[in-house]
Amino acid sequence: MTDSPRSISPDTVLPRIFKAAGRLTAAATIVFLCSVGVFPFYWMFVTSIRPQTEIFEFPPQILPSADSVFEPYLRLFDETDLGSWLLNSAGVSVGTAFFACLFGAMAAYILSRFRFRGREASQVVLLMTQMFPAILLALPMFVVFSRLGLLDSLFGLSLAYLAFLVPVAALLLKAFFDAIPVELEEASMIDGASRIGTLFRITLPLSLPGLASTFLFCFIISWDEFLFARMFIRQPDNWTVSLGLASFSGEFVTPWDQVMAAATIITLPAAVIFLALQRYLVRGLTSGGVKG
Amino acid sequence: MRLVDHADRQDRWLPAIMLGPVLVCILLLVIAPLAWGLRISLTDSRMIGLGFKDGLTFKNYLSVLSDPDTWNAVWVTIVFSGGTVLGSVLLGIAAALVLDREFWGRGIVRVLVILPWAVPHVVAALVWQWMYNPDFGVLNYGLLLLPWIDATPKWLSDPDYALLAIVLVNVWKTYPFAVLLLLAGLQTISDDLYEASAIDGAGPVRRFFDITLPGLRRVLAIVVLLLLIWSFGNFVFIFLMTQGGPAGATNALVVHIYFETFRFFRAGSAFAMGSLLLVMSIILTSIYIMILRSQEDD
Repeated sequence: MTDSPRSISPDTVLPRIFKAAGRLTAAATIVFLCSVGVFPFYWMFVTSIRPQTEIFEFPPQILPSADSVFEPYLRLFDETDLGSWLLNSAGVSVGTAFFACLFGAMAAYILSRFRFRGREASQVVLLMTQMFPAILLALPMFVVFSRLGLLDSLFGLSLAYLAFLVPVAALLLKAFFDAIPVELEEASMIDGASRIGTLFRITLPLSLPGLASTFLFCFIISWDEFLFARMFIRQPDNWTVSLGLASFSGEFVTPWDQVMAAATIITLPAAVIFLALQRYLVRGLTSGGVKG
Repeated sequence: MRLVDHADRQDRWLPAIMLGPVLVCILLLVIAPLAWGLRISLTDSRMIGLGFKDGLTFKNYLSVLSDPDTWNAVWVTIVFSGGTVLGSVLLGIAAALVLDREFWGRGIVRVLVILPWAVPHVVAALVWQWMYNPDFGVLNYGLLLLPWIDATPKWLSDPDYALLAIVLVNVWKTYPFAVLLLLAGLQTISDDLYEASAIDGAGPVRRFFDITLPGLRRVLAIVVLLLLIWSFGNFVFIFLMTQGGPAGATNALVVHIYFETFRFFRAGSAFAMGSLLLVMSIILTSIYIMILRSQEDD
C-alpha cells in the first residue's frame, strides 16, 4: 500500500462514506428495534407500580412515578385469585408437558430407530396436525368433551393440549434420538441388554437435554394457550393465567395497574424459559424441518 | 441398519405399543373432530350437540357463501395475514441483516430484539390495548410529540384503524421468529460469494439483491408460509382487543366462527365456514411441506 490513509481521492473517500452511512443506518435500526422490543415491557412494569391516582393522566409520565408503589401486586393477591390461576396453569402445564414428553418419546424412538412402511407418511401426518387453526379442533372437541363431562375440568383441558403437543414432542424428540449414534445402542444390545433396557440405560440418559427442552417447550405453549381454555373452562376456580388476565379486559373501568402487575408476574416464567430456549424454539415451531 | 432390521423382526409388537398414544391422539383428538365438524356442516344443527336428526344438506354452504359477512371475514383474514407477513418479513430482514454484523453488545441486542416473542399472547394483547388507549394511551402521546401530527386516531375503536392496530401487534409479536430463521439462513450463504462480488465492484445494494436475497429464498418461503398459517388461526389478539369490531372491521374468520357458534348458535354454518378455513390451511400446509421436502433433497 503506497497510499497514505489520509490521501483524498474519490476512490478512497466514497467507500468510506458508504461505510459510515451503512454503520449509521445499522445503528439507527438497532436502536429502533430495541426500543420497539423493550418499550411495551417497560410500560407494563411502570404502569404496574404507578399509584392509582396517576394512571389516568394525560399526558402520561414516561418515567416511573416518584411515589412508585408495589401495592398493586399485594392487592392482586388479596382481591383476585391470581394465586389459584398460577397454580392451575402450573398444574396443567406440567402435566401436559410430562405426558407429551412421555408419549412423544415413545413414538419418536420408533420413528427414529425402526424402518417400516408408512414411516415417512406418519411424519408428514404429525407435521400436518399442528398446522390446522386451533378453532377447527376446538369446536368439535368442545361438543365431545361436554358429553364426556370433561368440560370445566383442568384434566380435560390438558387432554385437549395433548392433542397438539404430543405430535410436536414426537417430532422434536425424533431429531434428538437421530443424533444419538445407533452404535451405542448396538454395543449395549450385543452385551446382552434388551431393547427396553437399552432405551432406559443408554438412549434416554443421552437425550436428557432434548427431553428437558421439549418439556419446557410444551410447558410454555400450555402456559400461553387461550382459545381452548376460554372455550372449555367456565368456573373461576378453574381459570388459568390466560383466562384470569383476560377477565380484566371486560370490566367497565379496567384497573390497569393491577392488570399490568398480573401481566408482569405471568410473563416472567414464560419469558425466562423462552429466552433460554430461543434457538431451540425455532426448531420446535418448524418441527425439525429447518436446519439452523 | 443391520441391527435395526434384526430388531424389527424381534420386537414386532414394540412399534405398535409405542406408537399407540400418538395414534390415539391423532385419531381421537385431531382427525375425528375434523371429520365430525365436516359432518355437522352438512346438517341443519343450530345448537352444537352430538346427534344429527336430519339428512345431508348443502344449505349451510349456500347460505354461508352468499352471506356478505363471510366474505368480509375472508377479506379481513387475508388483510390480517398478508399485513402480518409483509411487516414481519420486512422488519425481519432488516433486523437479521443488522444482527448478522459483528458489533459490541450483539448478544444483548439479540435478546432485546427477540423479547416480544417471549411474552404470552394475552399479556401482549392487554399491554397494547393499554398503549392504544385513545384517552390515556402512551402511543397517542408519543405521536402528538411529533411536530407534523396534531390529531390522533382512536385505534381499536376506529373502524379505519382497528385492523391496522391489530396487525401491528401481531407483527411486533411474530417478527422475532422471522429474525431467528433469517439469521440462520444468512449463515448458510458463503462468504466467498460476497468477496467475489466485491471484487467485481458490486455495491452493498447489488450484493443484497444478487446474493443475499436469492440465498434466503427457501428460508423466506418457510417464514412466509408459517406466518400465514399462524395468522390464519390467530384468535387471541382480535378476540381480546376488538371482539371482531368495530362494525366487523376486524372480524377475521376464526373470530367469526367463534361468535357464530357461541353467540348466535348457528353451529351448522360455523362449521361450514370452518371447512373453508380448513381448505385454506390444507393448501398452505401442503405447500409448506413440499418446500420442507425439497430442502431435504438438496
